[in-house]
Amino acid sequence: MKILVTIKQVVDHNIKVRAKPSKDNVDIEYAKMSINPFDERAIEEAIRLKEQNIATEIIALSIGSEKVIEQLRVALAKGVDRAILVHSSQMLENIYIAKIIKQIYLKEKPQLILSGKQAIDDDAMEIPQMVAGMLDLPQIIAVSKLIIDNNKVIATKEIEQGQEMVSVYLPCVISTDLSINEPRFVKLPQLILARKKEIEIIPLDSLNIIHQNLLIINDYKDNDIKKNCNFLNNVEELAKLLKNETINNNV
Amino acid sequence: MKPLIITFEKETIYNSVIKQSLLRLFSASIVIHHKCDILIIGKNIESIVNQISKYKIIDKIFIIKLDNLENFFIENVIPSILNFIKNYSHILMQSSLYTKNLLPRLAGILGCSMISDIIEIIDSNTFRRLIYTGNISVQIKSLDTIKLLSIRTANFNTYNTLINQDKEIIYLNYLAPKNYISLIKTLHSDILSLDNAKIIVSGGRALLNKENFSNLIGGVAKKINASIGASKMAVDENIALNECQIGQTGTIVSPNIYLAIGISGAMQHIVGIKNTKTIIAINIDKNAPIFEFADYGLVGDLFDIIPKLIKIL
Repeated sequence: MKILVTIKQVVDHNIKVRAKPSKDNVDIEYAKMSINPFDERAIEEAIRLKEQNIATEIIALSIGSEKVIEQLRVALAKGVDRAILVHSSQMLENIYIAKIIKQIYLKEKPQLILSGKQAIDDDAMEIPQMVAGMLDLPQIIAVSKLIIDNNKVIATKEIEQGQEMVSVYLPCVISTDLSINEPRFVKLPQLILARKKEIEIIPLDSLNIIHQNLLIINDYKDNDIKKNCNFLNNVEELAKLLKNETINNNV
Repeated sequence: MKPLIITFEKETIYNSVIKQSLLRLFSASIVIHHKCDILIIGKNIESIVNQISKYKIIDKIFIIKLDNLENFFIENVIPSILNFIKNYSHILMQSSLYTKNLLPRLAGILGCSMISDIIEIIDSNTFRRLIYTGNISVQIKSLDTIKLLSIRTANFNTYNTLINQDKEIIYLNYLAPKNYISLIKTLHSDILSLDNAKIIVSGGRALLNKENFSNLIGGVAKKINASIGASKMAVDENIALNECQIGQTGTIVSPNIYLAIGISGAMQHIVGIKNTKTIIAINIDKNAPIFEFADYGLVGDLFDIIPKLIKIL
């Protein structure tokens, strides 16, 4: 079984991002970049499936500038077989990204597309579903446990009030929740070996995708929401406050 | 052109009454146009149609009646609505994990963008949403012919304008899609829903373990009839259940009271509680970031404070 894992390069999750004074973007020019933590889980899940002899080939796909190559090397070091970069230096809308993933899917014909459920920069949680819609494939989002047996997928997905266990047949699109697994660390020797592996670079234009950018994104603002806190003196005051508030706000 | 609101049974009614979140969705829609149509999908929805028709903003009411909700996944409705929605300039839905299965998939099929988790509507083309785990807000102007919008209803007020007028009610056919996904089982939580909760008690990593969380957070929640929430840290450390998680990657809440116990106040959590009327925080560290966002605070050891609090309440 071939798995296509889509990964996004994002600002490292430890960094507090702020808007530029010019408000036309975020200030991340010198920020450390990493693989989107949700996508790290997708890579890990794919590798586990390979270790269980269920997956035969794992391809990591990312889209962006040459800087992204660094993240693809990490993916290769972790155990992914091949890496593809669709090269573009433009800001790409999510629907455009979905169209690109669709083209690579049609080219590679994997049985499974694995992705993180959302990216920690835009927090949209859209792309895996967009791709599934375009390709008319079943989608399972926010998966916390994945079992694949032959052609059948049994997945536990997170829902608002608990979880659902569902089954579907391959091919399908799955997006991973953070809780699905704990990604392995990459050791230096593996990273060094990975530098020798080839990364396929495909220029975006060569995919001949028809797309018009219809979203204009601007006015980036820091979301500062501060209040003046009234400090209470003791538990008795807290209890009184709670009693008053709950009476006033009777459900 | 008029917007279309799409809503599902479980998002529309709670104990036979219209949910506040739907009324907040009306408030979002009215910024775009003074009237909207609504499409309601579900099994037992006749009672709700009556209530919805009383609101002035509602023009036509469309219904897709389902015989069976078992094994029904929200995206199954797509074949029934794909052509119908092309009559509208804006499609609005509440933003939730549930609706995330529908709108983005629809966007993919139509080949258009969508704008998720909108916190503010500036005009019919211009919207605001949060990025970078709630640290930054950004404005998005859309030139798309159909604008697919998911609305973070907690950021809008409830719409309450009523009118005594008959509304046109139209039934649409349900066209069942190829049956892709089968439900094996649902594992429900016992806990009270967070979306609609008026009072929430929430615990952080400082609770240290499941037992403490259950005794202390659960103990207070029981006394004041509150729903239970947790910080991402608490969930990650297995101190609290995943479905309790409040924050940018969990549930966004808008209760009247939010009691944060042993929660430091990371931005991604604050974003989840920003729309609370009164935030009360308890933390051992007087410099904890949560106190910058709280209306009331008590500095002290929760293992000291909470047992006492449970006794007094």
